[in-house]
Amino acid sequence: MKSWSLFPRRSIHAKLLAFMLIAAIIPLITLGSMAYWKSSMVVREQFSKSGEYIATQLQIQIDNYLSQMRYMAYDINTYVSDPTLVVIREEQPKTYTGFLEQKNFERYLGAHRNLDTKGIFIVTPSGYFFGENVINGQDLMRESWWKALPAKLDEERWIGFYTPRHYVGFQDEAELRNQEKVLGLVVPVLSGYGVLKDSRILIEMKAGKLFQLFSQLEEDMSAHVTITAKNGELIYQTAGTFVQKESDVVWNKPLESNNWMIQVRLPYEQMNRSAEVIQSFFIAALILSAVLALLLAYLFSRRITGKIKRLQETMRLVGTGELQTRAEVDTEDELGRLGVSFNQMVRRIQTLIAEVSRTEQLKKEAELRAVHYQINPHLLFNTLNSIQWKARLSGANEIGNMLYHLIKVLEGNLDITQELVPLDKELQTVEHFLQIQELRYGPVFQYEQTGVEACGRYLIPRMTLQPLLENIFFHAFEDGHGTIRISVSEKEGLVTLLLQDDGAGIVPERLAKLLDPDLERSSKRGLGVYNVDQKFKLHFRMEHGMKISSVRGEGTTIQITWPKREELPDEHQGNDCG
Amino acid sequence: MKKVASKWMAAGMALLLAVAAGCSQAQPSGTDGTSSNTGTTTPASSDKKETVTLRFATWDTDQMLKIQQDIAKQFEQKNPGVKVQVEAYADGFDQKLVAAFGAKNPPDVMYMWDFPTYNASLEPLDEYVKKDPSVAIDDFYQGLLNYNRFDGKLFGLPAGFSTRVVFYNKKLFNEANVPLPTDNWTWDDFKSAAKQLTVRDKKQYGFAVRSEPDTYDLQQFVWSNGSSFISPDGKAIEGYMNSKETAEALQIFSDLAKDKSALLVGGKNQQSGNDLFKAGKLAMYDNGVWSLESYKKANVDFGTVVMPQFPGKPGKGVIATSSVSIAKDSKNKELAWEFLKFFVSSDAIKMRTSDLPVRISVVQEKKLDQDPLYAPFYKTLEQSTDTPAFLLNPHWNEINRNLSAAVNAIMMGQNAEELLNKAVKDSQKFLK
Repeated sequence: MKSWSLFPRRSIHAKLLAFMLIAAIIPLITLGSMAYWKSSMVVREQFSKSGEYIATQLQIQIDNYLSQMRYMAYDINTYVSDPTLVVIREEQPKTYTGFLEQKNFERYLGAHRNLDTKGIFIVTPSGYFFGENVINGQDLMRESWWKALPAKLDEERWIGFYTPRHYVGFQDEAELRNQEKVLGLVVPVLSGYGVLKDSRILIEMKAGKLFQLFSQLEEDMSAHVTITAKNGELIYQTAGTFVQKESDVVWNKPLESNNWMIQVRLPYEQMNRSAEVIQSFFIAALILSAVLALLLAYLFSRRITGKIKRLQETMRLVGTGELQTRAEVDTEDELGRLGVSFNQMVRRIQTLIAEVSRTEQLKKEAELRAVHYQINPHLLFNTLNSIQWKARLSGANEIGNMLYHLIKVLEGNLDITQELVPLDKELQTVEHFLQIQELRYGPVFQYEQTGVEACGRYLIPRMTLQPLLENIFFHAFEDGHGTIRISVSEKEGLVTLLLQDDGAGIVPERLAKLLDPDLERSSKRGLGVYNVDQKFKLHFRMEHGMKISSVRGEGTTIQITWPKREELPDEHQGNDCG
Repeated sequence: MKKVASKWMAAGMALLLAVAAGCSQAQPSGTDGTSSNTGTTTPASSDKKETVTLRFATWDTDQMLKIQQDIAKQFEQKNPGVKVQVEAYADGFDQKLVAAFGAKNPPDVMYMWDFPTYNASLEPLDEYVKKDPSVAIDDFYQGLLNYNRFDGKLFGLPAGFSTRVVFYNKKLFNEANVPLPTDNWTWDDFKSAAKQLTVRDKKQYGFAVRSEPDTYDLQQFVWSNGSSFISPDGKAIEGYMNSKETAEALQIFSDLAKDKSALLVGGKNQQSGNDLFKAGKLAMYDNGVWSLESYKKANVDFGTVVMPQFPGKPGKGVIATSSVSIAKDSKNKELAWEFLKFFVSSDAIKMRTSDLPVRISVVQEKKLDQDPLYAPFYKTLEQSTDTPAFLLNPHWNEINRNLSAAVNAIMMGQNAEELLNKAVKDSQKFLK
């Protein structure tokens, strides 16, 4: 069964994408949900508080109106039931005193007015009224709610809210509709005699403020307001249909004055509406952010993985041997530096490979040459031996000795089986060469050597010192006079050999040409010194080899430095194989 | 458990809010300068301080209120940085004004007419008028300015006015073959016209008598008959309020009602004279300019004429005026004066179409004094030289109660002289 992993195994691109997406969305969801949760809680709380506040306002306002109206009615009733205070003899006054009394009484009624009062009247059974002359008693008696009152009113009647039609000055229905609604109370007059017998006190309050509160609840909050009287009679109800639900938020506010009950119902969805707005905003923001994160992650990771892929392809090409391939570098970031390092590495490998193949080439050439030299050393040795013996037999000892040393030198030179020989063996060859020179020139030069006892076992390329000595005799000591010093020392894994003479020295222009590899081999500088240097460089490393310093007339010093290496015992091979 | 969770959430919220606050604080500096004003306090609030709010209280509603709001708006445009707050007190005007004066927080400028009641709370304007000739005080009708004086001081400037004239229905006059009234008609002309124009079968009446008339309106008849309710110095009513001439003037209306050539209107459960006139059932009705538009609208073919005269006596008029005054406790009196000046300027007066222009220049420009419908109002204005009683005695309100009761009873058909004597007797105490 293939195991499913959250992160794809094979593609960094996909991994980056997944990581960035998660990094962007998880905090977003967390913070967003928290914000949504808390803010919708606050909003809901606020909503509920303001609903509660308005409902309470409504309750207080209505209660305030109701108790004011009740108090007015009570006050008026107390006043009119005192016959010493109110002397109304006729409905429509005709006399001076009648008018004075009526005006005084009406001023008393008017004194109960406040800014919220629409009107205070005492209406007689005939339709005459006391109070401000702003209504028409006959119109009032035609009002349906007035007609609905029992002829013998025994207690206060709350009329509820209505548009008054009994006020004068309204021409048509349109003007009437614009009328502010009022809240009405009718109370029977307690006075049981005279004009006021069976009269009713009518108190009307302007309900505009209450309707503002209603509309605040109804329009701003979509709440449903119901006011019901004690007997279940509907006093006010929000227009339109409203389906009650269990989930509705309900405030019930009883009115102290007359046991009316205000019920404000708020659909739960309404309360949640603002929270839903927040929610949809949040979801929109989440989707937007996710898309943005995805897009950015895609673009960013594609750039990175694209670079990695190109680098990978470059490496593959280099791996198959296309060493000229280079990684493309266009940035300075880690990937850019990786590309630069890779390019450097490939360049180094190219150099190394070139060097290795050149060394191999040189080695092959040397071997070829060696084979050429080997053509017939035995013939040479045998012949020289024969000549030596002939010389001894002829009594020419000097020639015999010279031949003996020559053979020794040649033996050292021609033993091509070993390229590297111990230093003391090379020095033996040198000494044989010096014997020949001494036989040749006489004891006119001096030879000193130091440090060989300690360093004799270290390996040195074969036939390196003899050509240098030959040079000394050939160029430096014109008459064979002079001193040659060889000193060997060892330090930090390197062997240093100094070859000094006090001969003629080398002219600087020639000195410069001596070790220059760019010169053609056929040029006049002579092969000896260059070849020796090349031997060291071939056997050891390019940084090893010779340094030559020379002062005209005072001599030359050749310094050769090479790594310390010893011959292993089991690798030891006899040099007398031939 | 729940508590822990909410605490944790609260901490998270605090963090979130901190982040949000950081963002929102950073935002304004990045955006343009105007929005950053909301964040910083100094420049924005100092700008706001320069806006001065001037409060203007009016008793008008509907169309007339709209005109005043327009005038206020024009003033705002001409005075940048000033906001005129029009406060429509409607029928609670006096209650609200008294409360505002009492609380020492009155509107800066207000409509005014009742100078005896409010003069102590109003700013005398004589000095302003003297210092500021641009108000062109001579352009106002002197009779109007007279109504704005109390105790010798000017407390308001007239904004609009109306005198009272007789509106007559030309069609009814023509039908009854009664000559149309003229400028020099007499009360006898009037009475005979009223009688002829009453057709009881058609419920048509020659005139309408208010059963509870305002004694203020009745003054012009008393004046016309050479009397008045109170002595010119305001100290005596005996011999004025109960004079033969006063009684005679009032008795005219009582008689008209009694012999049924006039209908009693406007009382409790009675018809309104206005409605009757508009319905074409009333031949003559005395009224101010306020109803003129509604009569036109009702398609009544009507004319206007000055009130009838008593033979050999000059006609007199009484003015109803809307004035504007400055509160003594206003905190911006100079600005209030500027607004008041603008409110009574020719430009503003031309915008007021609900009552009559108070400036001579405007009247002449609009040729209102030559318009047959409007000329009687201005003719009456010229005759309005008497000072109404309420401006002469601070206790007029009390006296007026007795006078009203007498007048009401007279309109019900009782003897005028007897009732006026009673009213004078009952009112003497208020003069001491």
